Amino acid sequence: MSTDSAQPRVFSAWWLAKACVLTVACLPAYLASVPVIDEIVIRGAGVLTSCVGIRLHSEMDGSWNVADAPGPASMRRSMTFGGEQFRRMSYLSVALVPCTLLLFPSPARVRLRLLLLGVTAVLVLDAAMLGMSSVLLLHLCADSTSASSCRNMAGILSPWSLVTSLAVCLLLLRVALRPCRRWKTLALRPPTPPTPATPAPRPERRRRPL
Amino acid sequence: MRTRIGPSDPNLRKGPGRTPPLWSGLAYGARVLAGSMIGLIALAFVLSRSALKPDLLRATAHATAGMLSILGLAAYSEGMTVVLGGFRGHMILECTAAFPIAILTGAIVCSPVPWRRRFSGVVTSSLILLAGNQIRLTILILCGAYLSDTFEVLHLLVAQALMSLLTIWTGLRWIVKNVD
Repeated sequence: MSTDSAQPRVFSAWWLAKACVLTVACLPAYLASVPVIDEIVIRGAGVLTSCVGIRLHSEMDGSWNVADAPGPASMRRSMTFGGEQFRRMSYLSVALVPCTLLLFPSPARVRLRLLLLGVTAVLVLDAAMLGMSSVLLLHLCADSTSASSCRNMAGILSPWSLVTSLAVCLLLLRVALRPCRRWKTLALRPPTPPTPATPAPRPERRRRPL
Repeated sequence: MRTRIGPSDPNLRKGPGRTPPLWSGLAYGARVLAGSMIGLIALAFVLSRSALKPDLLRATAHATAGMLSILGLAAYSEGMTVVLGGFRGHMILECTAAFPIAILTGAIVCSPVPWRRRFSGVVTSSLILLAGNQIRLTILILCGAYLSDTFEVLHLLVAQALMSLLTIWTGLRWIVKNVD
């Protein structure tokens, strides 16, 4: 499919520059809301881990603690991972996705819907990954954390924010553009009424003298 | 002859003006998620045990020192460390563009386009991310040497966010151009 060169280019370098400025401007607000985000994600992840009899909660220093649910068993495992800096990097997708979606070339109403969808999807994915990592860490690394796989498993949460951001943005780009026939040119803009075609007066052709 | 309009109508399923249904969008999102996750996990578990890792870190440090030298600064690399003035920046795997490249490669490879386009997408995206990462490292070493108070915030938050944004932008550009 060929791209119409007359249409404005979407996701140009100018778009990237605007997104960078918006993201940097939003970072202080993101930092302020990290405890709230953590609370939501931990609750979501806690629901998942409680299904397999494991408790997950945040410590005061910003790290996460995962432990077997209290019970009669004497062999109760527990481990702490992460930290304040790590937590900030893990939830970065919550700042990146709204900044990207807010600059989508679409009407404000559509953007707001995408924003809600995007933030929800990111929180769900973050909770799922944190829950999964916690369970795996407790089962595989509670006795010894020296194995490189244990470090990788905990460390994967940081680049995971890039995975969720990318997947959510690409998914929403595709879903949002569903009703558009020419979605390559991002027809999410409100449709402009077609201008009546007025044929230009053709100049009279003068016949060459023989 | 009357044409039946409905899901089974072949005209609705084929043709250049086909509108992808919601489930195909969701399926695509799931494919991208799975692909980028596989790319990330593969890189994390394979490269961390590979003999290539020190070479990759040394090459990154060398390239960063080279870029700083081009700017006229007396920077040099010592193994995996870049030295500028009194600042020493030690390279780790997260400093390289390996993670963004692996994640984006996974997403591109899982996209439903011909293999030739996927291959060219992987090559182009990797080059963009490598260049962006080198610029990021150069600026970070400069900040470490001259603005040491703000280095931690810039390193762990701002540079990380901007590199992620570059990856997302590269992915969005590629998908708009290639996936229908």
